[in-house]
Amino acid sequence: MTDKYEYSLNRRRFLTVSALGGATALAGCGGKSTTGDNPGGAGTDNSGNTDTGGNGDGGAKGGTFVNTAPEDATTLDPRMNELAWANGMLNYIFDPLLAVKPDGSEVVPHLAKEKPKKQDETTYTVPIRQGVTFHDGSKLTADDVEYSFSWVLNPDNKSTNQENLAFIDNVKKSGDYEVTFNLKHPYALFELTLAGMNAAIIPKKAAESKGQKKFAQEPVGSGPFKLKDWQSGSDLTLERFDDYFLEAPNLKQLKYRIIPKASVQFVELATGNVHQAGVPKDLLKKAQGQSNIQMKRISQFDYNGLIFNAKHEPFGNRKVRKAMQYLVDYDEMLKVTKGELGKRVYGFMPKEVNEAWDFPWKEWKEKYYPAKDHDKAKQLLNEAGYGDGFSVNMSTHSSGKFKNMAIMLQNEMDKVGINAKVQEVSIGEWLDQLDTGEYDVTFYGWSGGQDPDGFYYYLFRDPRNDDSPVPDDYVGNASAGMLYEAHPDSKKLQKADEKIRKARELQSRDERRQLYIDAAETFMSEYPHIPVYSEQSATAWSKKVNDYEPTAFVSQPLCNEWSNSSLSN
Amino acid sequence: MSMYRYTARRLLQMIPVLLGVFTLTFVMMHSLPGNPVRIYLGLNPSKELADQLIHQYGFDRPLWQQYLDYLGRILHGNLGESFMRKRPVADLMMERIAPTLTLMGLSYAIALPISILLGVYAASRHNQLGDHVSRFLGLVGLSTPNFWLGLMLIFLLALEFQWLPASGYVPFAQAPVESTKRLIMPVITLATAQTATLMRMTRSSMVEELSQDYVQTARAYGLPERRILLKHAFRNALLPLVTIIGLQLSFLLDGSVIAEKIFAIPGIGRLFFTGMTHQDYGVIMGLTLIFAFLFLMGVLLTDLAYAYIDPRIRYD
Repeated sequence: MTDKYEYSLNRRRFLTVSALGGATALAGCGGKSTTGDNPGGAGTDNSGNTDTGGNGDGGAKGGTFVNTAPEDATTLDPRMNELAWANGMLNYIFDPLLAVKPDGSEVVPHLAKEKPKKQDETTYTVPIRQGVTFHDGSKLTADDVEYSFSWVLNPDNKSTNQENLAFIDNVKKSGDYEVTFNLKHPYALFELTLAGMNAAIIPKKAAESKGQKKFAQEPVGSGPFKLKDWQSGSDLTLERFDDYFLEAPNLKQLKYRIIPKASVQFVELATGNVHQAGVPKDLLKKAQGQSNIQMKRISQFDYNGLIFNAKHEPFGNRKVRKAMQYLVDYDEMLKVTKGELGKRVYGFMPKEVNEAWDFPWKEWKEKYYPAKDHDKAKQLLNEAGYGDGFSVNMSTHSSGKFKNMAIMLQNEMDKVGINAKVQEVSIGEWLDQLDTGEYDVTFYGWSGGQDPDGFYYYLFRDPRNDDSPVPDDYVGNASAGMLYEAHPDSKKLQKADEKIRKARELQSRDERRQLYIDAAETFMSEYPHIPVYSEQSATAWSKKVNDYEPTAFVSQPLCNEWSNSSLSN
Repeated sequence: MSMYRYTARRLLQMIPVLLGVFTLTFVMMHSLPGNPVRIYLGLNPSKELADQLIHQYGFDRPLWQQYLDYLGRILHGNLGESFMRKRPVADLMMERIAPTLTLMGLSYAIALPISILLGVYAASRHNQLGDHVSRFLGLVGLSTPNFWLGLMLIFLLALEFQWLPASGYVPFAQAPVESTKRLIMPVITLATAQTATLMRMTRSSMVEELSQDYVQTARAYGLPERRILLKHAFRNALLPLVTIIGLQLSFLLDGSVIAEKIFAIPGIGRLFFTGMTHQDYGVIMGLTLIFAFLFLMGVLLTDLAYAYIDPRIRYD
């Protein structure tokens, strides 16, 4: 079984600022968590506190845990939220039906009494836990569960999560405490989806009486904390929900402070004003020297790379695209862009995914990702008929990491006679270019989570084969869309598309694995783009926090099945 | 009476100016590629949902129609809604205006006296050591980037010495001491360039006045230097200075965007900045209009202040 992954997290990752800080408690998109560097070597800390257990009995009651986020949430309604860092906050207010273990090894029941029971390939019943109370005192029943899913699935409500639940045909109450899911087709990530904020359970009565807009400002959930105060652009304060169905949190309050600059977040942590923050790469050394905090690398389960427009000459030529692989030392590109906070990516998936699925990434590395070799690059360009060089327009939106990559690529291109112009564009313009294909080369990051589907379905399927037809001129995704459009009749590509779609619907991990290997090899041999690195955010937290272990998977590390954090004085 | 008539006329003249600002901003905003829906949905969005939302918000209608609709709403006193936050722009502004005004007001309150004192002092020591030192300080203040100064202050005063909290905002009425502590660094950041600019203006204005014949005459009469400086020359030197003070308002707004971002202050500047990055039409339009109005008011007040300073100016 794989772990939790939320598609909605990843839609807008490119908009996030460098360090996510508190938001790295992302509503976990899975993978193996990487080892952290704990200053002083201590994994946990009991600064004079007797609490060593996971039940929080011995932890000090009370106190406010202050977290940081780079930007404010725009809504506190999980049905309408599209922002990764806001999901981190919403997980404290709302509960999903299932939850993922902190190590990502398994999905377990949460609001559900048991895991979904399979009736047939597309029908599952889910028994609901009794005795769960919402923040307004009402009891959670199957009505609320049916309502939560039906509301999102109703196109009239224009929920941004609709697409993430599109595999569900309907959800019906089949008892006071049981619902039945009818799926449109078998779906490999069904359980994983139910463990995320795309499937948060909303109280029907409160949501209907408040209306969506008011509910977004005054949310009512069943989570361990309820809304106390929300100061636009400044902070969000949640307070302990005494009737939380697992066990009331030890902490009295949880506060998110909005601090846009990562370096300032870190200063606040180092000086004891907040309990958790992100650490930007330039301050890693300083953070390691701080005795009052511990730090951990948390994989972002994304990858960043450069994309070629296969519809534009000369990038329509596979040899030219392949030459780009020989042109640059991509290890160096990672180093100048992210320093220690990144890892090379092979097969369009982060290393953690490759390892968890036992993909043959080392062979891929040998075969498809050769080291820098300008002679080889020139030879390929000559063979393609572009030995005399050509002109290229590169566009990048104003993010530091992409700008660094663009400048480095431009330098290397210059050495082999390619005249590259780098153009910095606004986010709006950049998205427009991706849609219309008005670029030769651009730079791009995508968070796909821990399941290969999160990368392959979204980046490499052919949108023309989707159920809802797309217009002829619609690219759908810049990543492979251009390649499909450049070769509309390619059997090889159509086969890969079929495999990606089939892999979503299978339950057998081995079969899925093989399909992804085939698809990966097809696309790697085509070089539609070059994946360079995935990010490892450095999250640091105060040693005053006990029984607290953020991981890439745990949706809210403060108060869950495995831990109940507390603060030492 | 003529002053009231003049003020009323000037207020009426603001209407076409504001309409011009509104039209220009609207056209510029809509000529940018992309739209708020596209940015909100980010990479690889559902085409269906994007189309639905674009239709719901009317971004697919002819531009002139969108323009007239919007104008109609504005005339009814409705600044529109933020697409990102799904809330009225007026509400967002009311929540955010206090920190920005506090920051700007305090920066002015500090920059004005210091700059005038330094400027007058430098002019009175024209081309002597005191003048050179003041001018050098002014140049340093002017050429120090806001963001760099802000970060340096944080690293020094918050991280190294731990004298002040690094960021955040607390309303003064809620906790005066805490509020003051948090305002010190952002106000220094904002006031530094301000002080430098005003100081240089005061100095050059004063130097010019002190070279006038009437100053020579006053000196010949044996009037005390202090009186010549403050009563005669300074009053006349104030005129160009008042103009600059009015115009500086827009620079302060500019600086507040940076200061608010660095010091995590939930003000109008940051709201405007995120509005721009997300192409949140409602926020951009609403704030631009309000800024334009404030700026025009600043200019009007400046003009009215002239009368007190220079009795030769008549309102006609």
